[in-house]
Parts: sequence; C-alpha cells; structure tokens
Amino acid sequence: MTYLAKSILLVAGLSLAACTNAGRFDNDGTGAGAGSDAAIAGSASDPKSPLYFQQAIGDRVLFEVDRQTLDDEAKRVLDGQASWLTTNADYNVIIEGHADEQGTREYNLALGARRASAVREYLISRGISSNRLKTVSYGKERPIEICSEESCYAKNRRAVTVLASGLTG
Amino acid sequence: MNTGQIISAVGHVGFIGWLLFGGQFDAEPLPFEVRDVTVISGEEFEAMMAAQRAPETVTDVATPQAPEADQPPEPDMPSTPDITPEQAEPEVVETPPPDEPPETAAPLPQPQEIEDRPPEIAPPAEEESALLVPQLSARPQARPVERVAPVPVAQPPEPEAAPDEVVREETADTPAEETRPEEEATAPEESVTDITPEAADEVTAAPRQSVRPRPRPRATAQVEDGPGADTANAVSSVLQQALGDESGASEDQSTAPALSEGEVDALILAISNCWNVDPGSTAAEVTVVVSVALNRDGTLAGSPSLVSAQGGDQGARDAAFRNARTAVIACGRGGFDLPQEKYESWREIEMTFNPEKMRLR
Amino acid sequence: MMRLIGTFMMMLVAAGLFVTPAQAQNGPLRIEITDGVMEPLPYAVPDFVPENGAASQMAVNIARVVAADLSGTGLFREIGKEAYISQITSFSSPVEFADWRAINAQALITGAVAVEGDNVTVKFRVWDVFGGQELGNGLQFAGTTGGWRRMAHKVADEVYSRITGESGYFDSRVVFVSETGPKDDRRKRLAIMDYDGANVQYLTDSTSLVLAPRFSPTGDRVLYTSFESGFPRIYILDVANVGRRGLQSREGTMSFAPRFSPDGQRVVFSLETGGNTDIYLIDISTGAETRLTRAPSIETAPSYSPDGSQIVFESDRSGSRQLYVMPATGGEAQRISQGSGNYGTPVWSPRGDLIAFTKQSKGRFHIGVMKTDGSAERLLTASFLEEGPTWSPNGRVIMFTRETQGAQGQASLYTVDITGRNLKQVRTPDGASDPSWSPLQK
Repeated sequence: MTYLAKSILLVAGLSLAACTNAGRFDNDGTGAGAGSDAAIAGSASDPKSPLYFQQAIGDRVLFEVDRQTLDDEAKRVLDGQASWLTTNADYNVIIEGHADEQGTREYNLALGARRASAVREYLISRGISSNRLKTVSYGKERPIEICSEESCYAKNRRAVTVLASGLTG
Repeated sequence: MNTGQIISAVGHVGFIGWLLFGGQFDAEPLPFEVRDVTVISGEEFEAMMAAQRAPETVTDVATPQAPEADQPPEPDMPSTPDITPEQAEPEVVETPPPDEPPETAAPLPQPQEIEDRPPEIAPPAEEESALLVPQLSARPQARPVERVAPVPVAQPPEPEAAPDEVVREETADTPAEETRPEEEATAPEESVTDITPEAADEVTAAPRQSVRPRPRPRATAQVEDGPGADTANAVSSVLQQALGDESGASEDQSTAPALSEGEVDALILAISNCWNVDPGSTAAEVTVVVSVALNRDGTLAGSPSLVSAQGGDQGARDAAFRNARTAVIACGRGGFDLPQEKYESWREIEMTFNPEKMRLR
Repeated sequence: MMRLIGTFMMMLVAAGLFVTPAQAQNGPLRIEITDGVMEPLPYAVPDFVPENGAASQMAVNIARVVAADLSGTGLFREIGKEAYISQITSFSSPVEFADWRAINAQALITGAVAVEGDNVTVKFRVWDVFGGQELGNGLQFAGTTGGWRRMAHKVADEVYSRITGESGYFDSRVVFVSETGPKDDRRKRLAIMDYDGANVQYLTDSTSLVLAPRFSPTGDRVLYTSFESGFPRIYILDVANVGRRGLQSREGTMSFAPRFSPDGQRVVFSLETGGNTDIYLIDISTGAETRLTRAPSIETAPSYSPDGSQIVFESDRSGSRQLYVMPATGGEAQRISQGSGNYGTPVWSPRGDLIAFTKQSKGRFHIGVMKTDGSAERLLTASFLEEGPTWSPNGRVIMFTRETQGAQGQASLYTVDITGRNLKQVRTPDGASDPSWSPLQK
C-alpha cells in the first residue's frame, strides 16, 4: 500500500480530527469535519486541530513567477507552522509544491519541487525534524484557481503544508 | 459510334505511346508483390485487456512475402497464402511480472468509446492558429511577376547606348532609361525588387520574411561544367550582348540564332509555374538536371531524361526528377512558345531545377 | 592595369549573373529554374474495385481512408470523382493516362479489395500519370476485416513513400493523456489511438495522476510518470498486455520526464532530490543509474539524438530556460537556443536534422524547430498555451498539446507540418495532452 493511502486511512481511522483530506490536494480550507465525536475538538477554534493549522495559521505560502524565494509574509506563516508542529509532534507533513499554468509540464514539476524544498528547509531551520517533512511537487497539475489571469496564477504558485498522521512515520 | 471509339482508342494509344517515347512502354505484365498485414481489432484488444496477456501483439510483424505474381494481375490472386488468422493462436507472451497486481486491469476500454470513424478534423479557430509562416504561401504567386522583371534589365540596349557593361548593372535602379524597348517595359518596378539583394534577411528566429529571389541565376554553366569552364564563352557572349547585337551570335561556329534574354526568361517563367516544390521534402534537397528534346512546334520530342542529380538520397532524387519531369510535361503540353526561326538553339534544352532557395530544412 | 583587371572582373560578374543565351550555340540551351510553386500535389484515388460482393463497402472505405491520409498531410490534393474522365472498373485494365493528365492528376492510385469471411486482401498500384508509368510495383496486403483501417494506412504509407521518396507515417499510433473534468479537478489517464484519432483505447484508469507517456523506439513499451505512490515516479508499460512496473526509484526523490534511449535499453530522465533536479540515466535491465548533470539549476526534459550519441535538454542555469546539448555520457553541455524567451521540452527529430521545442515568449507559447546547433530557428505555431512536441515517425509532422485559455480551458492535440503549414486539430473523445508518436508499425 502506498504511503499516501496509508496516511489517508490512518487519519480517517483514528478520527484524530476533522481530517485534512490528504486525498484532495486543493486544500481550500473547507475540509469539513467528519467525525461526529470530534466536532468540537477538531474545529477551527481548537488550536490543536488541523483545521486551526490550515485556517488560523495558514497552510500555504505563495511565490513570485519562476521563484522559490520565501518573502516575509511566507516566513511569518512558516514560523507559525513550525511552532504548531513543535507543539503537535504527532503530525508529519507533506509539503506540496505547485506552479501556475505558464510553463511546461516538466519545468513546473521541477519548479514546484524547488518551492516545496524551500519550505522544508525553512521548517528545518525552525527546528522541525527533517524526517517529519516530505515534499512532493504537482507542477501545474493541481491548480486551485482556474482563471488564466495573474490573480489566479498568484494563488496557484504555492507550497501547501499538508498534515499527515505522525503515526505513519 | 464504333468508328469514334476506334479513333479514340487509336488516339489514346498513340498519345500514350508518344509520351512513353523511347519504347519504354512496357507491355509485359506489371510486377506485383504481396504482403500480409497483421492487424488487431478493437474487440481483440478488449479481450486482451481482459485477459491481461497478449495473444499477439499489435506490433507483431507480418512478414512480407513477395511472390512476384508475374502473370497479368488477375483479380483472383489465389496465390495469397494468408499466413494465419492472427488472433487464432493466442500464444502466451511472457508477461513482465508486475511488482503488484496491476490495477489497470479494471480500466477496460469501453466499447462504446472506441470510435472507428475517422475523426473529423476541424480547422482550428483562426485567432488560435496564428501560424507564423504564412508568408510562405504567398511566395509562389509573387514569383512570376519578379520573373518578368529582369527582362527589361537584361535586354540588349539599342546599339547607340554604347558604353554599357557597367551601365547595365545599374539599369535596374534607373528604370527611366529611355533606351528600353517599350515592348519589354512591362514591369519596371519589379525590376527593382529583383535587384535589391535582400535575400540575407532570412536569419534565424521568428517569422521569416518570404525569401526574395536572388538575381536571376541563369549561370547553369557552373552546375554543369564546373565553375569557369565556360567563362570564356560566357564573357565573349556577354560582350556580344553588351555590344547590343544579338545577331552577332552568328559569328559563332554554329549558324543558329540564339534566343534573346527575354525569350529565355519567358521559358523559365513558364516552367517555374509548373514546377511544384514541397519545401519540407527531401526532394527539395536535390538539384536535378533534365534534358528535354523539343519538336519544331515547341512540343516535347519524348520524355525528359535525367542528366544528373545532386544531393539527397536515391528516393529524394527520384522524386525530384519526377517533379521536374512533370513540370516539363505539364508545361509543354501545348508546346512551348519559342521562336521557330531559332529552333536549332532550343531543340535540346538542359534544364537545371535548383530548389535551394525554396528549401526549408 | 588595375582598371583592366577591374573591367575583366566585372565582365566575369556579368557573365555569372546574366549568362548568355548565346551558349546555346555550343550544345543544348541551358537554363536554371530556381523558383517553383508550392501547391499540394493533385492525385486521384477512385474507389477500389470490389472483387466480390462482400467487398463492396470495404473497397470504398479503404479508398476513403487512403485519401484522408494523403490529403490530411496538406501535401496532396484529391481530385473529386466528378472530374474523372475515365473510370477504373477493373484492377487489371490499362490506365488511360491521357484522361488523368487532362484533369491534371499527377498521381493515380488504383486498387481492388476482396473479402472472404474475416479476411481481406487489398491490392493497389500507384501511377505517375505524367511520366506515363507505374511508380513501383503493384502490392497486395492481406489482413482481417477488423484491421481494415490499418491496411488502408499501409496502402497510404506506400503511396506516400513512392511519390515523395520518404517514408510515411499513417500506420502509426499515438499514446497520450486523456483528460476529463474541470481544470481544478482534472482526471487523467493514459490512452492510445491511431495517428488520426481513430480506435481510442485506455491503458490506465484515472485514479492517479499520469503524465507525459513516451513510446519506446519500437513502439512496444511506454514510459510515463504516475503519482500512484503519492510521488511522481516513472513506470514502464507493455503496450501488448498492459502490464506495467515502476522503474527503480529512491525514497524521498521525484523522478519524471523519462525518454528511451534509441536502443530501448536505457531511460534518461529527471530526478529531483532536495529541490534540485538533474538528469540521470538508468539501465532498464540492470537498474544501474548514472548521473549525467550536476548543477544547482533545473535540468530536465532530456531527449536523445537518434544515433544515441547526444542528449538535448532544458536548463535554467543561465537564468532563463534554454536548450543545451551534451554527450550521451554526460559532460560539458553546449547551449544551443539563442533567442529571447524560455525554451523547453526539446525533442530530437527521428531524422536527426532538427530539434522541436516549446517556446514561451511575451506571454505566448510556440512550437518551433531549430537545427541541432541551434541555428535556423523557426516558430511554427502560436497560442495561449502549447507544449510537448512529438515527431511523426518520418520527421515531417509535429504533434503537440494546445490548451485554451481561462476557467473552461481544455487541452487538445494538434498537428503541424514542419513548414508551419497545415495546422490541424486531432479529434479525441475528451481532452487530450502529452502526445507521443509511435514509430511506423511493422
């Protein structure tokens, strides 16, 4: 069984929280809570919940065209992620790198990897253990915004930190 | 009625015979070859997908068997021993063991999705296509005009316009020259186009301009005989022309009067219009020289023959020769328009078909 | 003296420029033709003659596919039946060249079809109408009714080859990614079809993202990138039985952009580790891996020269994406692309003479070709977004992905002749991207 599938199953099976649905990579912050028993504990107001991580801290950072440089805003978000991850040591993460549609498939895959890696390096520099952090790139294959304008492109050039259960470690 | 048919038949046969001239009319049965094609159908593919192993691959080669059916091609062809009904013996092909049971077994091709109809090709929306090389298509049309242009330039000036080898080079830029015979004054402005040597703009990148024709290449001597071989001749004849006396040619050994510059250009133009070149083909890498024999009425005396071919592989050369031959035959159907009194000078013509300028690869 | 020489030189120049009708006196008149017209070659392909009752429909169908193949190249133009002066009613009757010449048919294809049960035989001849002779010899193909389209493509290939002196590309297939669903939830699966879009079949389901399939040099296997493990990884699929396996890969890395070596034994691909992408080579049977580039920049989209000696690839080492050529064993790379803008996905022509590429410039995408040293760049197409060229087996046509703009954007396949003419969409049932053209089938 694949790593990803395992993660999904474990997350769901343990009802740790309103799952961050690792199967859908277009995390739009509406990862509706599922576990009935976890309705309160997993809500966005619960600082230990993945929803809180996604929405209150912010699970993504954005990039300039063809760049993987982290700006101040990105670093602020990542600082938040790092401290959350420090507190919630049960979670591992997969950092997904993405690109906008302006570029070839291959280059965008490589570019997304650079972005994911930049985030990973930053989190490591903030004390997160490297073996909790995996990266993957989707290139331009998984846009969250679909218009062909800069307003959409800007949101698609992103790296998203997706929580996975630490128990899969 | 009957007679009509007979006449028609005789006429046709005669015509064909004439075109095939040289007796290559092969009355003997045409050679024939037989090959098997192993093909797989959609249903077979489905079955194969279901079974996850190949009865026989699509790429399976049908060995070409070539019994040269040397009798006249009969419709029955009993000689075709169809090797096998391919799907008959599903030989088990070794299946590379997948590391895990391939889930792809599931995605069977749904029969209803398999279109066996040739898809219609829609022309792309115009604003999307944005071809960057449309200039190319404009090219052929432009040619003939430019072809005409040189005529006045090269026209031997009136005798009194004496000191002119030099002048003639400049005439192009000074179309006001009155010495020009009016009958040739057809297209003065193009003559300018023709002279301006801007063929150099075909650099790289981006959409290219259509290539301007270079100054008329009539110097076939180089192709044929190597550079310089005919230089002396050429020089002397240029001098002759320069002296403005084309009948001066009669001072040569032969007595036939030569074609004028304009007459030669008209001939070149006519053939250019019949010469179809595919600039992306390998045939466009080949320069062929074709020998053409003409009757006094300007019609072809036999099929043009290949003198030499340069560049390309054999297939490309054959194709280039056929293209040239077709051009000559197609153009010469009604006879070339050439002055009969100069027949001796054009009863035999060597035509060099040089596609270098048009080439695209 | 100088003056004399000058005059003499001038005379030489004059001689070169305006030779001299007068030389007709010493042999044949010599002329040179350097301008031609560029028009599709007119041809006629009358319905093939059915040799028995069962063949009547097939005889028409096959002739129609042959015509579609030939005319589809843009290099040939069919002359309609209404113009015919003589009819072909028997395969063995002599051809009335004059009748075909009169309608300006330069090539004539005659054929006959017989159907016995599941078996079909097609025989045909090609005629050089103006030359008044047969082009090559008559040829017969035998196959099954289910494969009649392939037989027609084979006939068309043979015709193409006899007329042009080059091999054809009609009996070939294309593996591609079939796309359904909206842009933000696109489902992709591998599919294969005839070059003309007929006979689409699916090779994978759409449960995991798949990208950029690439045919092996013999067309029996396909490399592609799949996310089925959660991470991009290269798989190799056997077309005949749809069996597949992953190429060996290392944990924590991404591998993608694979292509076969011309001998089919190795795969060159991109491997990403720690955010850096370089080019690697793996031996399929032994799994031995060689690293070919070693740079902090992105090196991707490698493609072999047909002789296997060189690899062209894309790199942003200069700050923008450009194309480079290096020895197939690695080593120093020469930059070949010189224009402004970004270049990507270079693909070496099967004829070895050109490299096709994707170019991004001033907000537009182009498919173009250049010589292998980077000279003579020509852009063939332009649109909002297009990429991923693949060559027809004879190196004459390029197929690529074009994607339309906006939220409803869809990908589809197009072909264009290397002269930049004859741009056409290839009809597919759904969206389609990432085509890879097979070699000519045997």
